[in-house]
Amino acid sequence: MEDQEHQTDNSTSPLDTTPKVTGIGGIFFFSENQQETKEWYAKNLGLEINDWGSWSFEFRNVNKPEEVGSLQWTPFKKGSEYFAPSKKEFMINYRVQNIEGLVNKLKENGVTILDSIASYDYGKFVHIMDTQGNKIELWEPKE
Amino acid sequence: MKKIAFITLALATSFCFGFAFKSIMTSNFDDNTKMKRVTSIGGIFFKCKDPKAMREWYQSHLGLNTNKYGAVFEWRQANDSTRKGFSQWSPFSEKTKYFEPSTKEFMINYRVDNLEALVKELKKEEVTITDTIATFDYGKFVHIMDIEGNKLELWEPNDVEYEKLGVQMGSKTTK
Repeated sequence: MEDQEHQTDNSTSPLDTTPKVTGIGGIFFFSENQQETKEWYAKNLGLEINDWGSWSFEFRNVNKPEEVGSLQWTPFKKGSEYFAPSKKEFMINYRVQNIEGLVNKLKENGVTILDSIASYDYGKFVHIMDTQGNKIELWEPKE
Repeated sequence: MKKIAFITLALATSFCFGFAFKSIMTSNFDDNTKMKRVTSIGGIFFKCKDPKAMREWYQSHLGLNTNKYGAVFEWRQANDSTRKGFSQWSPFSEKTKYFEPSTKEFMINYRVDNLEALVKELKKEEVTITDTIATFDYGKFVHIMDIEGNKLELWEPNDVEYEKLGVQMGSKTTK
């Protein structure tokens, strides 16, 4: 019951550690020609593509306005292994809080976890499958 | 002496002209580069077999606050923390016609600053616009095609009205 309440609780206080998704961290999609795609979006839509081939848009946490986060938009080479075992042409990265807690909960719930949590300077990552064959990237940012 | 005065005048004139010309050129250039086009992501929409099951799965396992349309992510704008922003997340039926003429499994919604001005520019640049601007309380919308057959939704949001709409619907955002 307590868990149920946690799942629907959305009054995120700064100390809230409920394991859950808090935002979108990235949108990745296949492209036939990544270079052309990036140029098209830069020219026509004004996207500022960085050295890593992404457009990174910044926003603030609604509860902690001093905390700036970013969402990565990245075209991937068509057929990239990065989306496997999903057969979809897109993949969404979700920002989460308490990734360890979330992975434990997902394991208990019988959700397919594809790898183990990897830590980098910019945060922790893990990949899971949703109920309909989409691979999802979960990211607990360190920003 | 007269000749020197003439040369000085000529130089001064050409200098001023050059300066004026440069300002005209620069201001034109600035107008073009200053026009903000896309500012952020307004939504991600994707096809699936069963949108209802999908919304329930994301609610129960990942904590998204879903309603019958999907979920809304709430954030604040980077350059003005007093202003909120929203991004819509929606699974669509695989039979949806909403993404047409794109045959892709997903569609991205981009938030823009000034849709009327942007559409004018995109027309000049011969980008395919698939409909005309539709205006609602919560913003203006238009759809275009990118270079690889992806349909895009462009949205000039009215975030205040958008938030009101969510409150009226009794929907909670995800944040």
